Amino acid sequence: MDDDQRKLAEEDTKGRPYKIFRYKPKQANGSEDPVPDYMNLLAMIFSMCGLMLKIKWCAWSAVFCSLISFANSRSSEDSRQVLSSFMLSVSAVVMTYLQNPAPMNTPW
Amino acid sequence: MYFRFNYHLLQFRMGVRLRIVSCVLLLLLFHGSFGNQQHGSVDVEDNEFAEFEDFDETPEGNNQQAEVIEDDDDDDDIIEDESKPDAEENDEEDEAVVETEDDEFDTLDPDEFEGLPGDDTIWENDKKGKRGKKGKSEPELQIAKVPMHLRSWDKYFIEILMVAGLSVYLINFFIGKTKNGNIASAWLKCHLEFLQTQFELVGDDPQSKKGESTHQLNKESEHNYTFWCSGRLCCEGMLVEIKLLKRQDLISIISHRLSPVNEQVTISINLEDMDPFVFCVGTKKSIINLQKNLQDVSLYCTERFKPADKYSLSSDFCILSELYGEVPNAILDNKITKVISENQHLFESLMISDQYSGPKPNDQDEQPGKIPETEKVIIMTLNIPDPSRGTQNIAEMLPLLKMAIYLIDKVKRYRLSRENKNRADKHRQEVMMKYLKQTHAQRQEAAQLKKEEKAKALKERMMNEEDPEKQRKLDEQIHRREVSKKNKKMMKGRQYKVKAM
Repeated sequence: MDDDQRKLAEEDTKGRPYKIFRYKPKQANGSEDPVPDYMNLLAMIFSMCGLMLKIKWCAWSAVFCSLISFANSRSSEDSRQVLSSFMLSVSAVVMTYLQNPAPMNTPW
Repeated sequence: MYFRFNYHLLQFRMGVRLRIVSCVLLLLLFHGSFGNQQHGSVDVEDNEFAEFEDFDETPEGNNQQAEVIEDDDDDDDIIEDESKPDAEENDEEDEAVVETEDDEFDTLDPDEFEGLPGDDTIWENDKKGKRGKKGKSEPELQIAKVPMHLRSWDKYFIEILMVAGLSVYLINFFIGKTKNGNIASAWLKCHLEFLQTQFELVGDDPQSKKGESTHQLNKESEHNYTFWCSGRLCCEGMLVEIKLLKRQDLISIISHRLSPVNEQVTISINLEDMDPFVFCVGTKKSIINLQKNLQDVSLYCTERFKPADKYSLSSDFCILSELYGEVPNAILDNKITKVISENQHLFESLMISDQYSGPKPNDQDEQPGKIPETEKVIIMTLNIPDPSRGTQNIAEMLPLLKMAIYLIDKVKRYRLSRENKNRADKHRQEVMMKYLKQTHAQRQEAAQLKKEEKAKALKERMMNEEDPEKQRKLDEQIHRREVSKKNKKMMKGRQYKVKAM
């Protein structure tokens, strides 16, 4: 606990036999859920494939990955990053269908 | 011309001198007008450019255009065009060329395209047709063929499937999010009153500067909530972590269906003071996990875990302790065993440690030999009752929280016997020595590496030196160093031999 926090706690607890310690959120460790980070990365790769190579299923998978990343994201994380990856994947879908409006080919 | 004629007549009357001149002029003018009237029939043969003059004088051209408007059929036009050269006497080839150009010009007439697709004048022409010639057939409209994939949505069924999947995921996200929020708030609702009696600060927002109770949970993510309490005797604070299922994520729901996971509440209490010991009690699975993952448990609880039957607990529970005998007897008193056995479906594990340093460091960590910072903690893990039966069941967890608060005072007051305390202290010293040895070996390795790097750099400098004298000096320096190193080693070897003698 920092000295400043201790001082603050002591000031708060004037006349009381106990100290108040402020909540210190844990720093992100490797043990935490890695799903959002992986999904964000996947979304980025898929949307790049969708945009550059015009592969439709890649663009759709990018949208799904970014949604999963958004659903699992931590509140402390920057929401702009998640939003930008989502927008990129949506733009990948739009661009692929603007260039070739034909429906996606079924793998079967 | 008439004006000129009158003018010259006046001049003729007015002046005698000009009579002859005006007569000549009149003759010339009469001749010109007569020639103009006749040239269409006579001069064509003589004048090659006569036909171009026809464009200026329109009677014949107008007739041709009128014919074109009246006739819709192209064949008639062609016949007309073909008949023209016969009518007009064309002896030379050049004239024929001029005629064909004329024909091309005629074919570009916009009125000829009526009825064809893309013609905007079709409606006007229809009206004309109705007015003028009712008997003639109406132009047939040709509809352009639209590609099949643009006409039917059936072809886009994968896309429709994708959009449906996205919408289902989003709907599930909002439903799961609210469900998790409801469970977390139900926990808070059941425990808030009791926590307010125990702590001064109940619920803290780390972003606010003032340390005031918010009485609200902090949302770490859509499935993780935290709640911080502080301001109580014997402890620095208590952190409650509510770890719920990822209901907001459809894929996690499917994976949870395949391998069920419990929703848990972890209560971590930081103690101010306690005697040195590490003790764990819980289900067999959780105890194995603790020993496997936590640094302090793996270091201090070297003995195998034992069943908790002796302490009037269910046979599902096990005990893992640094000091068996005294510590479990003291901690697991009647009150605690009673609460645990009454709520054994909710109780997962309890750990009391004075050397808590979190999970084991990974192999990738930079400094594995570094002495970790330790804390004195009580960590209790509880299972949340199945929320599908209603959130009212969460109130069942309250006795276990009360037990955790009771343990704060108990552990603070508890003192080990002298013998056990010495044993525990010895244990801690051994662990410390282990760390120091590790760090010493690491430091030695680092020093060796540094030395080698220095020698390498010196050699490189020597090799790169252009001045031969300087190079020789550096070479001598390196050689001297190597010799002194060898001598040192030899001396050491001799000393050992003397000692052995």
